[in-house]
Amino acid sequence: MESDLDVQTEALDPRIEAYLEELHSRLWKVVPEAEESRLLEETADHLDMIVEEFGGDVESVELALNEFGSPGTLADQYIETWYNKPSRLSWLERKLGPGNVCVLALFGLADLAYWAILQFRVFLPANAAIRLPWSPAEIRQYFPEPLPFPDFSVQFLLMTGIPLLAPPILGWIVGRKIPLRPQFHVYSVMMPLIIFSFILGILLLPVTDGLMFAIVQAVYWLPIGCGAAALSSRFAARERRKQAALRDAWSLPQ
Amino acid sequence: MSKTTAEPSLTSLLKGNTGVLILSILKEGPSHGYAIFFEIARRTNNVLQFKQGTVYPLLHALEDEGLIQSEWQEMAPGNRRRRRVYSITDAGLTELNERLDAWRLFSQAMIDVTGVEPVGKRS
Repeated sequence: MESDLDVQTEALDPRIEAYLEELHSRLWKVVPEAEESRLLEETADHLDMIVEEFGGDVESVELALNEFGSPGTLADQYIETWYNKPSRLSWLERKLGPGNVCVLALFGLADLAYWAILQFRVFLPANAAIRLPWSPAEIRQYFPEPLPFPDFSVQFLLMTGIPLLAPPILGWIVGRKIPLRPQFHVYSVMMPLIIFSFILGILLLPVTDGLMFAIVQAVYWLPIGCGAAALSSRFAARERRKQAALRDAWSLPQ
Repeated sequence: MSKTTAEPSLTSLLKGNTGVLILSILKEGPSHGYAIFFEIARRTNNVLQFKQGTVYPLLHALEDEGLIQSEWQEMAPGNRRRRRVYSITDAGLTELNERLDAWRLFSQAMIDVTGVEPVGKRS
């Protein structure tokens, strides 16, 4: 397929070039280059036509850019269209949405891992836990207050580590993977996961660890996961725009 | 209803139906993005308004669904500028007819319930 970048055309107004540059920086490394090039060329052509319609003078360019819409909004719409394209999605992604599948894979796995370890903790005898070399007495030199778990074991590390670290880490990864509004996908997936945790927590009574985990998910996982995803996505977009601006290779047909 | 309160309702109605508008325009013959937008605005007397750039994500989405197809066309012999021209496919025609049938039923039901008559055919 002929590269759209090889096509020659007349020189563009600098404001239109700046508009296209902004659009390019938002789409770069998110959508395939061929699709991006096609959109940029169509946009340039369309803007030229609007400028002609308005008389072709200096003010016409500003009017044309205003009529066309902001590059940020157009880029977001295009990314959303491309990201949800049925032709690039698997069966599961078409059913649940690609963003939701991504979040479900990450947060769902962390959720399942915790529940699996909790089952292990509740239903297996205490001496089945693998112990680290430090005794409780040695640990008490640094943490004089009694620890919530009497044994400092791999199980303890996982059961404390997963609830604490999963939301910021997984939220960050989700923000890198989903190009647009990842926090909404985290919210959509976390709500049923929280309900699932509450149900399992009730089934585990009188052991309250399950219910405690469900509450932790509601008050910590949900906001931190959403926040980390949103922040990560913003940083990723900013990085892409900086890198796109540094590239020499991009040029709209000159 | 004042224009300011009607606009958000029109915008939300437009969101789900812009594809039908585009397919209807392309049913009459191949066209490019600018002409499609211009024709929608002309036929509705600017009642249905949206930013012109939004037509391209919609066109690409319709093309991905197989409802339309497109190709580059040179603007003039010797001029290496080119324009993307879209045309409707057979699947697009079928989809358009189905959506228009659904729209007829829906709009008639709305008229029957609300008693509101349509504004009248514009030239």
